[in-house]
Amino acid sequence: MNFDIMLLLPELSLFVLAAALFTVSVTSPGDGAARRAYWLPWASLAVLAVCLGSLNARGVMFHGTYIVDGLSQIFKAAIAAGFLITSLFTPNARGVDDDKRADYLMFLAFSAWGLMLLSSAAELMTLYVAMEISSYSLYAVIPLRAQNKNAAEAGVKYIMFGAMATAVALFGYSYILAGQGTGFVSELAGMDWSFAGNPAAAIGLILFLCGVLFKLALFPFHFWAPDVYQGTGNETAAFAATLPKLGAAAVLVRLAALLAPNLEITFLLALFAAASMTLGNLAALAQKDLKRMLGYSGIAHSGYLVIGLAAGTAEGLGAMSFYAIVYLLMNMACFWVVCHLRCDGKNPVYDDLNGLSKNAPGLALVLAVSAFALVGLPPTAGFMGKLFLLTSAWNHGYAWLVIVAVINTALAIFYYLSLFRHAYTAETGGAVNLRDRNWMGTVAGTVMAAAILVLGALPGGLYRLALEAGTTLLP
Amino acid sequence: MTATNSLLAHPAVYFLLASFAVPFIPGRLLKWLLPLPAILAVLSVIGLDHGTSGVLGWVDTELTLFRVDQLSIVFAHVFAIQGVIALIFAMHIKDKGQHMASLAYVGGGFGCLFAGDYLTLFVFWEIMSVASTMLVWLNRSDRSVRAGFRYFMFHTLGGLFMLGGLLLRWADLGTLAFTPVDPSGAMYYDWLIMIGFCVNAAVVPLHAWLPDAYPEATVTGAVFMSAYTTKTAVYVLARAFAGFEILAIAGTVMCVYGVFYATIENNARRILGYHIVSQVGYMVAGIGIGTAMTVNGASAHAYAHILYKGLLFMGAGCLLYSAGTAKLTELGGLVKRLPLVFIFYMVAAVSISGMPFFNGFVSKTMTITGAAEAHRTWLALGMELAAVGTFLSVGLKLPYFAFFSKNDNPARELKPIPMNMYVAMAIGSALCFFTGVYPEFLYKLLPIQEGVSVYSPYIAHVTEAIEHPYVPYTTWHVLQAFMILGFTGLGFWAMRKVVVPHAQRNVDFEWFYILGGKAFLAIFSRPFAWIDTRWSEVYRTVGLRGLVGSADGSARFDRAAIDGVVDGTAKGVFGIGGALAKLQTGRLQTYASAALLAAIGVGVLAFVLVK
Amino acid sequence: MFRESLGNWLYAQRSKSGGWFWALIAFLGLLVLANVFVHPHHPHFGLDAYPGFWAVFGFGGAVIMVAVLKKIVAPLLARPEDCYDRDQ
Repeated sequence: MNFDIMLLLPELSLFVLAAALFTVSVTSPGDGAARRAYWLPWASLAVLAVCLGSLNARGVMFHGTYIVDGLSQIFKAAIAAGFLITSLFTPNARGVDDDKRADYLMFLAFSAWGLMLLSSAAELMTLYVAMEISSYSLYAVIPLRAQNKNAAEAGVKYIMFGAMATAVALFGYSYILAGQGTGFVSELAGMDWSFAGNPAAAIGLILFLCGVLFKLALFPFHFWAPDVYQGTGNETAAFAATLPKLGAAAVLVRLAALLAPNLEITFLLALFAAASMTLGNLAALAQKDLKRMLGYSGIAHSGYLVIGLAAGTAEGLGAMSFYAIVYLLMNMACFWVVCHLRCDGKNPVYDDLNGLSKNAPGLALVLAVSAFALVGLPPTAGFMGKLFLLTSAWNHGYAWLVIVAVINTALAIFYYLSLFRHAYTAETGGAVNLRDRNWMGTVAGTVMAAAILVLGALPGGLYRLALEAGTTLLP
Repeated sequence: MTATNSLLAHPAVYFLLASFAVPFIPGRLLKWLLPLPAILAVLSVIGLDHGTSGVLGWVDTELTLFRVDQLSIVFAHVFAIQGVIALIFAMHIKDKGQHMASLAYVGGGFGCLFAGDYLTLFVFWEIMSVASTMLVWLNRSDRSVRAGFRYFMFHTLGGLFMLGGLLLRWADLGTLAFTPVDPSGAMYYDWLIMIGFCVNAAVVPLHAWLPDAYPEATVTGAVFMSAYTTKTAVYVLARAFAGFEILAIAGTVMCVYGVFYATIENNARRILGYHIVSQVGYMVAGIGIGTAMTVNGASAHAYAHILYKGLLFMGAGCLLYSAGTAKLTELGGLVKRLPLVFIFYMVAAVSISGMPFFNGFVSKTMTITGAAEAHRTWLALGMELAAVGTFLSVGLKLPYFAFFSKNDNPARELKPIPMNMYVAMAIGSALCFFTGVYPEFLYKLLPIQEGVSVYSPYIAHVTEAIEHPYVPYTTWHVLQAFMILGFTGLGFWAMRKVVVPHAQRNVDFEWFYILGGKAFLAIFSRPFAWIDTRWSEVYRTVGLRGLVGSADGSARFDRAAIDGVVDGTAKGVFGIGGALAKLQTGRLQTYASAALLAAIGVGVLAFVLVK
Repeated sequence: MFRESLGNWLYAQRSKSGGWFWALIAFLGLLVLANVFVHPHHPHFGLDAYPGFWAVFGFGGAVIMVAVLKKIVAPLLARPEDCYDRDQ
């Protein structure tokens, strides 16, 4: 069985956190201050510290289904960081009733935990179970929005669509088992996946990937994203828009060994990516609601992520991991600003940004940095990430994909810079009612903006880590 | 032995630091602290070992700040001693700017002496140039400002020649090392460097700046300037160009040229300036002839010259300070009220003339004998003639018309001379006398002697010079010197009515420089001015109108065509986006079916395309 | 004090210049006499082996220099003293 508890420290620490939240939710009185769990940011900081400390852990456990390597540890650290940032603005979330707050936080913690397991899963069934853990937890929190029926509708859509996706994935898994005879990724890596060679397995893989692509919100499994983000609470949207994408990216990187560049599957993914980008960017142009717009932008970014997969090189995988982590930072920063725009917890629109540079210059600056990073302008990390992705795909037969990506970047400039335009140049209309921020949130916002800029200037260290992680996976 | 000297022992450090510190030291204290850097320099120079230190890496080459060998030591020795004397002479000056300039100037001089590479040399060279210009400008009269400007321009030109030469040399050889140049293999860049050196050495025809600027410097500034610029140039010529025939000839020309002009000049300091040209001529000729004895003679002569020329300028400076003028036509009969100035001046005058028992005798005769023994008869004769002329104008004409010749006019006001000036002159006189009667003191410092490796491989007859060192005090040498001097004196007496100075300025080579400048202007200004007028016309009529017209057109094109296209496409894209957004119907069943259909559709497309 | 008496004494010698002149003549005569007996071992110029060469050289050189320079050359080169004090 090969169980070594030292290799599991990140997961264990997060599980302990979730268990603590469970205890709070079960034991404390309904409206007690304890339910707000102000200790959560410090606890998640501790979890992040444990993850960073375990970056060099290596090992295989549970009969080869659970692998601890460079890739898994980087992603676990990223997920812990994402959870930390979320924990900074969720305790005061306006959109959640006080008596449900501890449960809300507990489910978020379990979702993150499931994502951590996902990044270490080395076998398809383990992978599926981990994905389900994280999805189910999210199903529970999506409808948790105070006094808002749209949230319930969003929740139902998410559950139904998700159920369909995972059913398809399970179906695909059965085909893979039939076609290749094993579920272990390491064994599947050397096998023939072409349609001519093994049609059942090829179709099985495509279907299995549908489940993963659902979490990633890649075309054509993206339809849920704009509605769900718009419907759910602001803070929940922040979590749901970023962290699952990280998990999905980790899975795709791990499965990349199966996807040789000239296979039909790979080409299919590339087509999906191109459609995703284009659809996401074009639709975002027409949006007024900020969260809906960010939902579409998330679809577009999923497309960018998958470019790294198409080329099939170690640089591509490294670029994909790098971009996933950078996307976490950019998107979280943007959501952080969005969440603080309204103190009543309603959905913010573009006009809510007017006059932000005068009323809250710090918020405006963080927004500007994250908007530029999402577009992909230098000197931000978003530019670096896109650069790595595009250069990895250019010389490997996917030049058309690169061109599509570049055109899409140009399209995206409009709506991202609208954020900037409203914040800096438009005058505010009536009274301003920004949500109050605690100092931890401000620190987090500043740190995120700084990290985006620093990684834009000095991407080397993180990229090298991601590259090393990616190289070991390819045969 | 080659030990390395600490950079703290570099005399330039003391002077440059002192120069920076001057503004912060109150005047009363400054007066007494002034000679301190020079005293420290003397102690330091005495304790220096031969060797190289202060090597810095720069770009892809090395800079050497502190290269010490016998040649640099002999010059540094006298630089330091003269520094003490000149600073004592300047103690009474209240103007801090002058002190800063003179200290920086001396510091630059030391920097040049110990520079082991051309670039360091250039930097200190320019420091000297700027600082000495300040010494002229700080005299603050209209004439001084003009003279200082001309001086600076000319020295900058010389510096540029040197810079050009050294950069080309670096590009060709790959090193900046300041080493002797082979006389038979000098490249064009070596000639450029030599021109730069010759400007500072006041080699005819590049010398006109010296008699132009030195009379306009401050009283104390001229004492400094008489020593450092020209002798630094002599040092660098000795280091790099020993044995170059052209220097031998140029030097002898300088010897006689200087004394000829000095004979007909009126301004006492201008006379002394021309004598600098003349005496430096001895040194340059000695370097050019390039035997060990002449090079030693040139170094010894530099040593002695700094001392007695400083003393001469101090004497003339006292006259200027006290009587308010240096013009011989306006002076006269001053011996009654300035007897000490007269005595000290005469000590210097007989030194420069080469009278036995004074230091000129032990140095000048070495050079002349060296020239004669190298069978350069005409050069030696020229030098002897210059010796006659030197005594004539410096030793006889100047003091006669300044101190005697007229009756003393009691109504004439003479400013009292501060004690420090007398002290400085006394020290200078004592040293002139001491080094004259005890030549071993000086000879022990010479660059070519027993036990010291010769600094340049292009110097001839080294072994003869070491085995048969020059002995100045032989009966014949003394007799010959007295004969020349005595009969020159007789000649002066005979011509005393003819040699009377007239109030005039004698035009020198600056006439050619001005001519060159005018020619340059004429060649370039007329045609270029014409072209410029025509061009402005064209610009105004055709160019400007065309520009405005095309700007107009582009603006219209931009607004109508480009903006139209951009706005049009933007609207189009927006419209597409809006349409696409409508695909999100909000109905789950639509989503589910659309997802599956799209997946299958794209999947089929993918398979088809890959086939 | 010392300075004054020295100055006076030196000034007073102006009136005694005749005496000084004859002292010089006597000294020069002695030198020429000595030159007959003391001469250089290797004459450099050939002529300087002769006694009195340097005497003639000194006297003649001084006289000719002054005459030529003052009478011929100086008038050619003469300019007003303030010729460079104005811009042309």
